[in-house]
Amino acid sequence: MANDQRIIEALTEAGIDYDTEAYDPAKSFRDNGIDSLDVMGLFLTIQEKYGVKFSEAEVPNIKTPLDITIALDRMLK
Amino acid sequence: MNMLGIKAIASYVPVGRKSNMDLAAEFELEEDFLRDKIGVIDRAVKGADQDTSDLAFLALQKLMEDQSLSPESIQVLIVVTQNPDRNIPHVSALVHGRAGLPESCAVFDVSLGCSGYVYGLSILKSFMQANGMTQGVLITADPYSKIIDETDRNTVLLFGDAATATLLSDAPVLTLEAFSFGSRGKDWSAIRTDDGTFVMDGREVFNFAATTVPPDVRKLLDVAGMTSDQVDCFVMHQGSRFIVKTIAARLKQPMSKFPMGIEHCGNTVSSSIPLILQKGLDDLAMVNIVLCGFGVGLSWASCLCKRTGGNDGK
Repeated sequence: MANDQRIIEALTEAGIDYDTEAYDPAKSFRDNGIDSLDVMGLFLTIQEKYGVKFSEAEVPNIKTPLDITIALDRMLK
Repeated sequence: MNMLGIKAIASYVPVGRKSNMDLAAEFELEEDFLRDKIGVIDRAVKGADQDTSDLAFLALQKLMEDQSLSPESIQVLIVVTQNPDRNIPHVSALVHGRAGLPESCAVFDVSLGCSGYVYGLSILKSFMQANGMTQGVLITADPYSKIIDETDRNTVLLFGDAATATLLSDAPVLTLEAFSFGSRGKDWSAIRTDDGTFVMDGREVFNFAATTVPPDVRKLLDVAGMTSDQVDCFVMHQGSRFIVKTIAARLKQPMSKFPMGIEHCGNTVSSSIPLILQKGLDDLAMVNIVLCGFGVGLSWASCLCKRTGGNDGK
């Protein structure tokens, strides 16, 4: 699966030290070496960059980078 | 009258500790996460027989001993807390009575959380100026162990108990040059108590801190005609190591300018800033210091301090 460059860029901009070698957007944040606080930083970076807001209701259901891509695509439609 | 400012800071940190390592397995957390992200390894916890006024009094007592202050010399005493011993009376009255302060001493409480120390400095300085006073004390004492849910992983790893006492006088080590304040009451529910138990929306608080503190600090420095590069030390409220690190990155300043002080006591709410400032008070290399408290309310306050001298009378 192709990596979403928006997420890769946001990970870098947020200063998140994730597992770049084994990065798989379909795997959980934790399996990608991204902890729960890093996820907060990632959400905020994407919100600021794309002018969107992840709702409190949807955040618990976003468990992978791919989930962010899907939510971002929906918000930017 | 000479310029009023910070002369000395004393503190009381309870000896009791609770280890976050003991909770790591239960919450499926790595030690690196606790150390590098949360920033707290042990939390200071008051004794079961201690209440808020006990912590406040012990901090004041230490300040009075350190500075050879007589009770009669204290003209005003403010206590910042949101966890008083009881609703009535105010904690400052309990401390006033126990410390044997004179009847001429004005005392009152201020209800604020993590922004309380910076607000308190401005309130105390203004009160002293308005009433021709030369010596006053600002106490912070907000033991969250009274309201924390030990099973809530969002909060139990963060908070610790402590109290501080700051002496403001007309012979200051640090002057209080400029302040900036802010409030976002519409988002109050992000940090609250429900039926007496503390509840916090961690993501909301992180977003608030990351997007509000850096612009407020820049605004403060703009007013003072300074830039972040000219600041020697940023004493941030110790929300977590992750929050402080995020603020440092957004201000484009190195973490070496952002002292941390939570590893073995936790986030002590309004006491977190003075606990760090206390250690730097005699560091003559620290000339321009920015303080910033943020949290409950949502509320924030920043202050620019400037060194006027050391504590050696020079």
